[in-house]
Amino acid sequence: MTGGAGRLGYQVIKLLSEEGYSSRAFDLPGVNWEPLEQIRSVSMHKGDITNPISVEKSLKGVESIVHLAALLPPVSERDGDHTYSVNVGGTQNLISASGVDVKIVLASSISVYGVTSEESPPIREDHELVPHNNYSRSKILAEQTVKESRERHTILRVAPISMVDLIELPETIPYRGDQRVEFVLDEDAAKAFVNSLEEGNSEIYNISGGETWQMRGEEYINRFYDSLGVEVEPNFSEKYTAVDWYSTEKSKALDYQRTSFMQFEERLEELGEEMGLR
Amino acid sequence: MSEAMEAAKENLEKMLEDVSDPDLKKRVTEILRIISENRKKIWLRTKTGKPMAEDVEKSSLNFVNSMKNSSDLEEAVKDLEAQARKIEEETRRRSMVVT
Repeated sequence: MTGGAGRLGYQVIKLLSEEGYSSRAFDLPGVNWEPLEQIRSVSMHKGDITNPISVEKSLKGVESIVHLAALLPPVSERDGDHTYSVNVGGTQNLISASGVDVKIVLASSISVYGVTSEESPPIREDHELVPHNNYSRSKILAEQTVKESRERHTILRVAPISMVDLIELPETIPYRGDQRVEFVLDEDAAKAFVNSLEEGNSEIYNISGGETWQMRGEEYINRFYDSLGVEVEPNFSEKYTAVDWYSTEKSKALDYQRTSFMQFEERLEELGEEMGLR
Repeated sequence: MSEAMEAAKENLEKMLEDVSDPDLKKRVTEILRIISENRKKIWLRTKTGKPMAEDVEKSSLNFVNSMKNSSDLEEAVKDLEAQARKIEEETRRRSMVVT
């Protein structure tokens, strides 16, 4: 599990543990490893995905790889070469250091479809790939690298992640208020990764929340912060960005869409009360 | 807006003029940057955020007193830096990521 100490990584490892798998988390030494220390069936490997020796050491005896480690926007947009080195070079290192019988589940992104606001939703997996920034370019190349390496792979194009937590409002929300947006809850996305270990060889899936999560940007922000009990004054992007409504007909086979948006709101309300915001 | 963070900002801004050592001035300026950028964060209004903001305010007062008395200055600034870093880390953890 690369990127194992990240927020989604933690959810995947927790779920793997609950389902009886033993796992190995690989991440940078400087990240916060504390949450993983509570999980018994995980071993922790501190290293750098861009270092082939570090990667090779961490892969000994591994049967499957869930590859989440990547530079994400806005960091990915600062230095294209560095983003390539982590997101594509890191993927190449994993492939070189593992046998073709090792399954790889790659975390890709709906960002690979580019800005689709002028099109008719939902966006399906066979939509053309549009490298519109460092991040999407690196994810398209990582997908290609994995596809060419072995049959035993699954590529998950993950929508923006929501979580039952207080997320700070950025200075500029990275989508327009009137833009179609669709998120997926971190726990549900984690379920898709775990189920992909046994399913969907050589398949590509959109991983997104489903119909109840399809709304406009302004509605998402209002419902999110209203549920927490916080008044906000959001400043939305003036440009359309690479978020839309996605077809998840195909990915329903992974049986991961467990949480409706209304259930998400109820959990945010509970959290708002616990945090003293309501 | 967090009143404790506002108070910490005011304490440090007033004191900054009196700091003559360039290294110390640089460190305090960096702490002020973190406080300024984070003082309006929503999480500072929560049950866990309020005490953290109050800790920053206490540390800023402690630093002001150390400056006035010329005593334990390094310890006071280190404590303030540690409190500011905690705030910055929590904000980073709570930042929105759209992939």
